Amino acid sequence: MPLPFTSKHLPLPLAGEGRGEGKPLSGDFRAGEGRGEGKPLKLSLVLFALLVGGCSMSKWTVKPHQRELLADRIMQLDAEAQERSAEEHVLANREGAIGGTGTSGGGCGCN
Amino acid sequence: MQLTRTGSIAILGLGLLAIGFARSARATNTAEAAARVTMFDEPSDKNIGVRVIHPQADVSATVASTLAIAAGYSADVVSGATPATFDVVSAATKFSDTRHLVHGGLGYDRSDGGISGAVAYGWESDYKSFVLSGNTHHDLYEHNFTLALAYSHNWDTVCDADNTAAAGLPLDLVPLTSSAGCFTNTTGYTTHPLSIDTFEPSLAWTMTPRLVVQGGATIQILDGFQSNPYRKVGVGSQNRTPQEHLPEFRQRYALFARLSYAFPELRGSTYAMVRGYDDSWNVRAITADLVGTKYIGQSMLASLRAHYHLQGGASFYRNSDGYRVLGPAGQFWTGDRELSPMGNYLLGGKLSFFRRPQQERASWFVEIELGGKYELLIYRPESPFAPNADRKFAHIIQAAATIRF
Repeated sequence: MPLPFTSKHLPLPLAGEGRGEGKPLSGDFRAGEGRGEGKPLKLSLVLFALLVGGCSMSKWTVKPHQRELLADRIMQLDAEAQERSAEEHVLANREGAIGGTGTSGGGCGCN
Repeated sequence: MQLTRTGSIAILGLGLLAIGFARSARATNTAEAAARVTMFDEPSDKNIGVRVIHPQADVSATVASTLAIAAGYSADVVSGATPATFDVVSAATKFSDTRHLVHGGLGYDRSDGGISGAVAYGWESDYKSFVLSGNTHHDLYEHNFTLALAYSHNWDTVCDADNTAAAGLPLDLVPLTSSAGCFTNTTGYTTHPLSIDTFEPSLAWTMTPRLVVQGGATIQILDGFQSNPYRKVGVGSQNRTPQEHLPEFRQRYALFARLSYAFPELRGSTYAMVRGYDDSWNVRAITADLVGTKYIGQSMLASLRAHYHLQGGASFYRNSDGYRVLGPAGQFWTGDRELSPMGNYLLGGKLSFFRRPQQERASWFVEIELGGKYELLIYRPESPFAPNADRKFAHIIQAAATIRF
């Protein structure tokens, strides 16, 4: 169990930091402006590359050493299974809707 | 609180299991034993209301870092009176019942995913339930995404009055008056099957070192007897009070999004959830949950919770006045608050205390956690003629203890 939220966590960089370095992504779109033909195809290719490749780009991912906060119990979406079960039990009997509590295994990737 | 002999044996068995798990944990990885008692108290303007005591006991252990085992027991000790209604024939009657549930599960976890299965059996005087469930999750893109799939199937059996004499005429259906002859082949009683399939895919994304988001869906299909066998509904102006009559098939869909965001400056976090819901009975709902959690000192955790739920009524719903004046809306009728247009608000707080052994000192435990919670659930019915309108709010009080080895 990690120490809970100590001040050493404060200088942690956000995953998004550094995204603005280098040539903006929009530059790819500007390159095709004015030509007209093939624009939708290029746009689709760029979007596809962003979707497929973007997730694995190192500066878009959260590294293992950046997961200290995420590993804490108060950041777990499905922590306290017993308490969640009791809450669901009460509300499922007093509301006409179900779902939205999520399945286990969500989020941290702390293994 | 009166637990039956069965419940006491189940709790004793879980205690022995906990000791076994703790011993195995010393040689392997971790184990946890948790006990929790929740009291749900719903007072009424007209009678004694309803009180439910819900004890839970669970043990779990991880063996050789990959194999997880878990077992648990819970119960509902229910006592109170049926809701008072505006039609004179449905006078409130006192009742009490106890529901038991035992469950167990196995899981296998690797560094990038896992799979688990569980079985549960629940029983009470008028209802039996057997559930098999499976769950798998897999991490993608350097653990930044987690794709999870969960599925469960219920084989439930509901006790009912033998309504063969009604010959398929819903207005002649007679409600069950007592569970004394249920599941005993007694004349005048029968049982109905109910199958429930629930499927829940979700995708979680670790967006930043402070933010985790998750989106997903819940799909549930129910097929079988879903009415409350005891409930009677005043229908028409001739004082007919047949048993509640609901469709036997229901499809339920929900889309949800959740997030957890860290505030290290405050040593806290926030959790938020929003859900949209629709079903084949035309009940539509939106639900939101917001929780703020903060560490206080080194050994205390405090959280505040707000919950809001707003829903429309089922297509065949009318309040007691509507059923009396206008008659039923089609061939179905209900007196269920959960099928009426209404809103719920919930506000509450929780405190937890931790005790961890000092470093460099051997101890038989890793952590002990004690917690208490209070929540106030406020109902907003659509009119004074809505079901359970005599019950305006409920108190939820909870105490919990967890030992991690």
